[in-house]
Amino acid sequence: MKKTNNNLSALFRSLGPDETGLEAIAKAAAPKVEKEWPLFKAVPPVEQEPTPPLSPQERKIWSKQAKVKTEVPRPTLSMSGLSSKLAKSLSQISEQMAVEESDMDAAPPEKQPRVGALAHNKRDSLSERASSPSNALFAKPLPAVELPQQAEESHEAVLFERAATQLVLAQEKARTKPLAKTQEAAGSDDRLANIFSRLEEKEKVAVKPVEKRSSLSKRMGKR
Amino acid sequence: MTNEALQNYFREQQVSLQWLPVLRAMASEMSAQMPAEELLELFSKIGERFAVDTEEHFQDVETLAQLEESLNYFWARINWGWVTFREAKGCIEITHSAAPLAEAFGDEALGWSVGLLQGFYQRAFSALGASDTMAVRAVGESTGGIDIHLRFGR
Repeated sequence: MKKTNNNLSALFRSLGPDETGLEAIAKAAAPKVEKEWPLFKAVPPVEQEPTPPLSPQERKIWSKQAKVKTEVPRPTLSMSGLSSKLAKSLSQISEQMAVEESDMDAAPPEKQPRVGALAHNKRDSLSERASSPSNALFAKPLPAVELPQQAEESHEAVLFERAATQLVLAQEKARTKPLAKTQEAAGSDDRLANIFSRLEEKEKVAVKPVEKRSSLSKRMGKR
Repeated sequence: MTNEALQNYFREQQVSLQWLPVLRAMASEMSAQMPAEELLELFSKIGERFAVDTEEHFQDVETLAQLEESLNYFWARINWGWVTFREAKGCIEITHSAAPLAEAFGDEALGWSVGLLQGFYQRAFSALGASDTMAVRAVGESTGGIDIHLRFGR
């Protein structure tokens, strides 16, 4: 079998740039340069270009247009933390498991109400899960699972309760905030301009000079 | 699980691991090269630039409550916690919670890295009509970097 490929590659290799001369020059010059200049001095200072400002596209990522278009629900402060997210996720999981268990056991609806205080639901489901040997994760931190009062002290229960409370509070806040905002805007006491002038004591300054000017002009007139 | 453990876990999630060592090294080197006052000023300038890029979020607000709401929308989107404003006697009290400054630059750097928020709020209030006679300054202890207290006034 003829190896034509090898010949071709040799041909291509021969067509490549011959940098042996350049390399030799560089090798010869390197020791001299290194002696004369430390490495950092041998590198000429390059003037940095100023950092470009954000492009319109990048700004769009933060723009309000996206907010209006997508209509993302305003994130509430209480739910923005990781702990809250964890608590919420755990709440959902435990709620789902509680429902599944209730379906499996065919328990009466009075025992596990699906609607109502979410926190109590979580605590009950936690207690049930803690008592079951199949779930070691929840069994450990909740030894006294029978007493709801003691369960309050467990961090998991507190987390769920807090998550539920915060959810309700956030919903209430979202409902009441627009009204509050309009009231505030109507009252105009909360306006930033008024606040700034209050802080700067502009209001007093704005009233007093008028009186002073008139009295001064009177005095000047008398003289 | 204690609150402290939760808090520590939360803090660890605040800064990308891609940048955490770089930011910490940068903070250490900057602390070694410059006094804290100058670093505070530098970070204040950075904060002002930061605010310029986000002016769209608060330029139309009229009340302090609206400003808080608008800024919190922005802070929440970039995982920078949240802020509460309260008008007090002769000043506006600013409490910024869950800012990633302490985690990003280290607790020991919080004394000057807080300048970033100072500059940010300074620029925000200036853009909304506050005079230059008033300034934002950090006040009090920041509880582990979770709550940073600032004050806008004379």
